[in-house]
Amino acid sequence: MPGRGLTPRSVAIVDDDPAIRLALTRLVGSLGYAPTPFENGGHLLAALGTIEPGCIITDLQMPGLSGLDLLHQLRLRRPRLRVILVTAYPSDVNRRRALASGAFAYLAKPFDAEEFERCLAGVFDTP
Amino acid sequence: MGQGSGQVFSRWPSLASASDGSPAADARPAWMLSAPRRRWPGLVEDGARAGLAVLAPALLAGLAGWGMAAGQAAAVAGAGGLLAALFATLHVARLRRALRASEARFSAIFERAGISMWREDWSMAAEAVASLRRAGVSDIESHFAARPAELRALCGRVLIKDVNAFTLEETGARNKAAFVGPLDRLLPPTDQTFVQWLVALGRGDRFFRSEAHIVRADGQQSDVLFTAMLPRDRAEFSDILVTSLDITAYKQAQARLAAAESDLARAARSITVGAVSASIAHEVNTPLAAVAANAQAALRWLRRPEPELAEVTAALEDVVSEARRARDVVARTRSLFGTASLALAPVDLVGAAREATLLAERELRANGATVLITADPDLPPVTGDLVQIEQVLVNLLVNAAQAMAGSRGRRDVAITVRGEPGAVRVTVSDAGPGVPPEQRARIFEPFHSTKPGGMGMGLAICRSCIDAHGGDLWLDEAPGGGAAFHVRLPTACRAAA
Repeated sequence: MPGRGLTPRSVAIVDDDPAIRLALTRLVGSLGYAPTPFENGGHLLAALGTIEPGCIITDLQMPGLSGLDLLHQLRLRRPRLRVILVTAYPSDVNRRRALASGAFAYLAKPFDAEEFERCLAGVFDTP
Repeated sequence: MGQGSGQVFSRWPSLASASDGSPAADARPAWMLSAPRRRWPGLVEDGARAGLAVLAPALLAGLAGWGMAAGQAAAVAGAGGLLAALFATLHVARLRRALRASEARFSAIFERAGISMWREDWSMAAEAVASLRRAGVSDIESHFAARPAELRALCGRVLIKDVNAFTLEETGARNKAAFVGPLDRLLPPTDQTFVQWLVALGRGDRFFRSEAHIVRADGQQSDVLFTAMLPRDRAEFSDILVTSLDITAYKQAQARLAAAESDLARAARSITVGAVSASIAHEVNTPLAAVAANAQAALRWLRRPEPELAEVTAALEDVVSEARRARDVVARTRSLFGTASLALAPVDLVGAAREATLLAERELRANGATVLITADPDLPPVTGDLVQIEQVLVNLLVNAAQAMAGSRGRRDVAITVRGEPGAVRVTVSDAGPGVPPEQRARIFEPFHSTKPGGMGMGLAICRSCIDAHGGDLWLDEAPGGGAAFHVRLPTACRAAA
């Protein structure tokens, strides 16, 4: 299943925390996807065009451009791009706002690896 | 004794405490030492004027009759005598008129004053205080704290002799009979202010001012502020003029303000707790997420047909470092909420217990609870932070009062302060339902609350505070079945012992 086709499916990871960024990059890589880390949403938006990831995993609470801000920007520029929001401080309000803004999924840190894997698979396998 | 900022039962400071200057603490006030005032200087002064009016005509008549014939002399003397009698009558009439005017003036001032005034006979109470001081009792308050019945009996020997018209006007009483009589009819059994009068008398204060609650004829309690100039002379104790100001509305406003303040503080605290817990959640969840993701990645790499050991090693190294990061977050959080430094000083636990009783006054009264303090004599001070110790005692008192809220019998809270080897123990026991043995340990756990809307932090904080003092806080059963909380604190000189 992972690595189906010749080019692995590309996932952009946005998190201001270097440890989380690296850990997510490793996890996504170990699941057979091609991860590209970004330390903030601005860098990702600037890189769009050069790379075209199939999925974005972004932290919700970040200085400057927040995960929700990034989601709104991406809805304008890449309406079909799927975005998974992750947060270390889950709340019902944020979950509702994230899903209402068109997030594909909302995961609370620390997340369950199986759930994460299912979620990523869903991004690429759901039409 | 500090005046806590959150104090609801205000202590109105006596403007003039003690006599002049600062006499030694055990010096007896002047009124106890002075012999009854002698009456003859007044007699001489009054007599001189009357004598002048009577004796002068008689003397003149006598001089005029000098050398005259017996018959003439008798006539002159008779005329002089008549004149003297006339003067004497006029003088007495003038004196009586002046007296009547003076009485009318006093009565007008007393009756027509726009403030409630009471005339009270305190001579028995003064005599009791004087004999205690003569017997060597210098701490009147402690003396009566150990003898509540004696105090109550003494209260009944203070007599209200008269009240003015405004008193009836203000209270709606039909006649003076509602007030005239022993003082203990008006002061409820929960009163804590009467003893302060005795303390002021014993100290020889010139002035006394205290809040009190009185029971009105209709059974309602009202808050009053009593003020009196205290006598300088033993004889004057039989007629002390006390003014009484109804401060019920003021106290209610004050209580509402205090309630609003404490609601606000509670709201602010829960907002702070929310913000802090959000921040802690974020700080802890982030390294945990890194640990979980790295560990899962390592597993994936290991489970591949050809394990990527370099990836596995890197991921596991990060698992270790992120676990350390999580540990540091927890350590930082602990130091953030750890014990702030204590302001250590010698603390008199009996004084602290009394002060705590005053601080908890509103809550005690709201639950109809009466506090009785008994203490061993000559207890050594303990080392501690007075404010924190008082706060712990206030907490225990409020808990005790609330525990008895539903009870029908007497709602007594007993505070006993006892010396133990190297320590002093304060026990706060109530007459409530008590705490079953299986719940006694849990009651000190954080977030364990039995009160609606309670944070469940009170006793947890009390215990950590007493722990920080090197003391113990525990709970068992009071003799009557209620709860008894014990606070044991090491005495100041334990290190030397």
